[in-house]
Amino acid sequence: MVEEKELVNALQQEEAREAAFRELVSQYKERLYWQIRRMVLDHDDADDVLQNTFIKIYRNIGSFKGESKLHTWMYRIAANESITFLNKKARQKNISWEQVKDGAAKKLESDVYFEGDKIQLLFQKAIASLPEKQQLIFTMKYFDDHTYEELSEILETSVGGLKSSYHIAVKKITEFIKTHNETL
Amino acid sequence: MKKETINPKFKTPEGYFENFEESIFLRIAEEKFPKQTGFTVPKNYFESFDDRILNRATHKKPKVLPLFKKQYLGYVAAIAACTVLLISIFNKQEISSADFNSIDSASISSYIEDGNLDVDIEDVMAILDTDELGSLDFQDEIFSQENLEEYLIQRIDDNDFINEE
Repeated sequence: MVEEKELVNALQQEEAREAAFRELVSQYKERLYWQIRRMVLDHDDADDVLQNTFIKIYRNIGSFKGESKLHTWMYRIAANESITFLNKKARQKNISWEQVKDGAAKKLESDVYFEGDKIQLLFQKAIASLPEKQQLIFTMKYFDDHTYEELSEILETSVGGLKSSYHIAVKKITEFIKTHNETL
Repeated sequence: MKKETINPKFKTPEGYFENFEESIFLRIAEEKFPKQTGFTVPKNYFESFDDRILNRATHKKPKVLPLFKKQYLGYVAAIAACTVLLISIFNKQEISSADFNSIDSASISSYIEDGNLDVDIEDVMAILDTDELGSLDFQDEIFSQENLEEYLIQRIDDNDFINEE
């Protein structure tokens, strides 16, 4: 695996850019895909957002100054692209963010690319009921196992604020599941 | 034997013990959550992604030459807007001056024959009462003996008469 610093150098040189970008895509596509998919829920939407994320990375790598780590910068772009995508969808359909998320969660019931059981479906519905920032923090912390310090860099939020948001999210999800399923 | 003493130099973060129960509650709640999402991807999705994105990223957009220079666009837009406005006013006047008498019967016939008028005999009966039906002035050339015979031959099935009581 090519070191991040070398990769950035190669990406910023015209003649090495294409090969370096291929390496970058190869290294990060799955991690970024799953981060995005947990936000937008639908595979086709996740594919669109993932492509937009990499296009943005490719077009802006020249101006990347290395003030943050490359992967931190990429996770931030993916997070912003996911939220932008969902907000755009809400605007186009003239509905709220909550309605977009609620609709996407309900669609999972018949989604061929969702093989979760009843509890996993309910869990996704509970996550989808959270406000956008809490949802982002919860999914990135719970599934991707980022530390609060990493998340603080990615989302440019204080560690204290992140902890508080995460705890509120866990409480809300627990409540949601309790009211919809007594067995958990 | 020497007894272990509590080291008074150890400290805890502010509010640690006050928040301890809350933290434990959250850890227990978290442990009950599913560890997997249940999401899957189409076959070979990740394998084919690299080429797709590389093609898209490195694709050079063709240079588009503007059809009009920016300074003229305002005039063009204004002329277009005026044209649309005039056409819509003109059309409105035409429609408002049209009445039933100005439409020739051939147009009405073709309108009905094309299936645009979805009205059956029940609808006609609901609209007109018996007196009005009796007072309708049918033109002889439309309901001539010859036309009626032709209509009956085409539309009336023998069984209609058999089934009649």
